[in-house]
Amino acid sequence: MVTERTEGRGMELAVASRMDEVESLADDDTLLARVARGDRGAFAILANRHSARALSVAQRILGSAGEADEVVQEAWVRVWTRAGQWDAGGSARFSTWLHRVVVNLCIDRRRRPGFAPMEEAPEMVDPSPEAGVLIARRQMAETMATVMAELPERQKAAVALCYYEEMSAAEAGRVMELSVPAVESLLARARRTLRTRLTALGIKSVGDGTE
Amino acid sequence: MMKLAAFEAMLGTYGAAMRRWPPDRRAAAQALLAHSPQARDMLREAALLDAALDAADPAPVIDDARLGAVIAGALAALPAGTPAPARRSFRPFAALERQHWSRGMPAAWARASGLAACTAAGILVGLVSPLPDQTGSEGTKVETAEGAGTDLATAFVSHSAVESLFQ
Repeated sequence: MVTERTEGRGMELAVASRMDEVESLADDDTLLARVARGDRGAFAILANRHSARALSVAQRILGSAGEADEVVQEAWVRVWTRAGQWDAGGSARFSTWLHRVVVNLCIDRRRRPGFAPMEEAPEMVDPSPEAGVLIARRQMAETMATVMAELPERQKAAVALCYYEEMSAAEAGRVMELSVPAVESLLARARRTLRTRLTALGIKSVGDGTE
Repeated sequence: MMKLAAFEAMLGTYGAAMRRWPPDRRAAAQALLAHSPQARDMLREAALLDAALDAADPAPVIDDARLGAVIAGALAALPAGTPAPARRSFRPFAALERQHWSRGMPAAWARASGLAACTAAGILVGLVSPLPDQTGSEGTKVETAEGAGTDLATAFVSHSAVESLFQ
């Protein structure tokens, strides 16, 4: 009897797995329609499909993996509560809207009193360079992380989307609800600010090091 | 052909890597670079700032464990019942997008409840995770920041020149 139950359950799981595979091919609009009816499975598929990029965007704006995780979770809760209002078949893409929510939550969070804008310097895992070079790289990364943390929120968001995520200015504009020239202006101001700050820190060019 | 001032403005916006430029401006920029030493100097300078930006990138590491924990946390934070019904007259999400954090689910609560739901949700995530082409997060692949690609900048800025930033 036990064996039969186990086999039966295994079959159910296998069927469920195959159904999930089929359902995972559903487009975002279809999944959102199901989310609007309270379908948590559809929600999980949607979240699994889009969370990696959302996390990347959030972490690059906030400079912190932990903060990015919280923001993306919050964004998904908002997707759930507002899924019924999604205009299926409209011109907007779900990913654009999700990134918009994430970016706005990141900007709100950075503006919070008490938000400590200490960026996480990238890990230097390449063991091949000599120790001195590695230390210099680490220092450079930390310096840049500090400078990046001081950028105004919207400039930071534009750099995250266009430079790091390599979205076009048009795509970033749709996310940030800005025109292309407005996005370009944010990018140009960010680069100007970074260049000025690096110069002030004595880093004039690649060849100058930290002299 | 693109004028030098326009080229400088584009560098100051998009940086030295042509893959980030609007596609319709690349050919004109390449034509300018082919015969203008000044343009090449400008490109080198922009590449230095690109190198500094690359050095600052936290290179998000997004593996299956992190993805699973985030999704489990979101599932655990969902309110009971079904979402609000459709209201077709509304412009989708317009009001929502401007809402502030304080109206949403408290993040600390979501995080705490996420741990409890991790096992159950992990099974669900496991069922839907093998989507190599759909999700971009398949298997054990770890997504990191994209490294510098080959493009016009690399034709004019030597690797050693960029490396010297760190020396």
